[in-house]
Amino acid sequence: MKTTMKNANTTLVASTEGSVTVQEDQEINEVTDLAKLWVVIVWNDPVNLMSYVTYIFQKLFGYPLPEAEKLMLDVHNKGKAVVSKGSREKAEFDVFRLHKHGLWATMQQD
Amino acid sequence: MIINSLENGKYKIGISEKERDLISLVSTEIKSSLQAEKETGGTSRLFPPAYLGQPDAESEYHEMVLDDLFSSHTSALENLNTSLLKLEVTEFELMEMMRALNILRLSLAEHLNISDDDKEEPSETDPSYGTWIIFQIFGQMLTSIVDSLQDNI
Repeated sequence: MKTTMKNANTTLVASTEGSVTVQEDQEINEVTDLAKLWVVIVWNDPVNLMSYVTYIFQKLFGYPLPEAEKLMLDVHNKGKAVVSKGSREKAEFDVFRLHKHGLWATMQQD
Repeated sequence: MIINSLENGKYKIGISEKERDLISLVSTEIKSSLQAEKETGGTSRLFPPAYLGQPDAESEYHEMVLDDLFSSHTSALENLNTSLLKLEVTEFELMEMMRALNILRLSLAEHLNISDDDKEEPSETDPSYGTWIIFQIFGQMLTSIVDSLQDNI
């Protein structure tokens, strides 16, 4: 005989022999995965001018100049910077806009 | 190239005949190479990947945007030559010129094999020296445009 007890996103299954197994709710985990934010990363490259990258960050994402410059310097000095976050669709849209402007951008789940 | 912002919100472009001819020549060549590249799937820095380490997602994304990205690049190059014949351009037209010049620089950088910040200037006898000079000239033009746009943001 088995007894089951549902938690927030797991199901505990206890047998009469005393063993307890944990079953993760696959559907809920998939929903959680979908709800995770996507981040758009701009990577350093040796061609794009620093002033150009700063301006693109201002125009595409509305960053004020100091913040756009900080992100640009992160790209230049640290090799990359996260410039936007959101749904997968938004991230793909932002990546496309950055690619249109010749910047090397990728996206991944946060 | 000299850019002056005008009171009507537009920009006046001062460019010599030689500079205009140079842009026209190079942009025509790059447009042809973009077409050839598109036919082979687009792999240069003008068609970069969106997903790293996720080949299925990347393949799907690449297929979805390749045509649009190609059209966007080529229309910017076509508009560049048209805009250079105008006495005044709008902010949008100047931004498109900026984007086109950046496309030219990125393409030239591929030919020059620039892969790090410390790429040294080739010697005058190097076959790539002329391309290097054009790359630098376009960089100066791009800087002029960005500075003008930045002043009015």
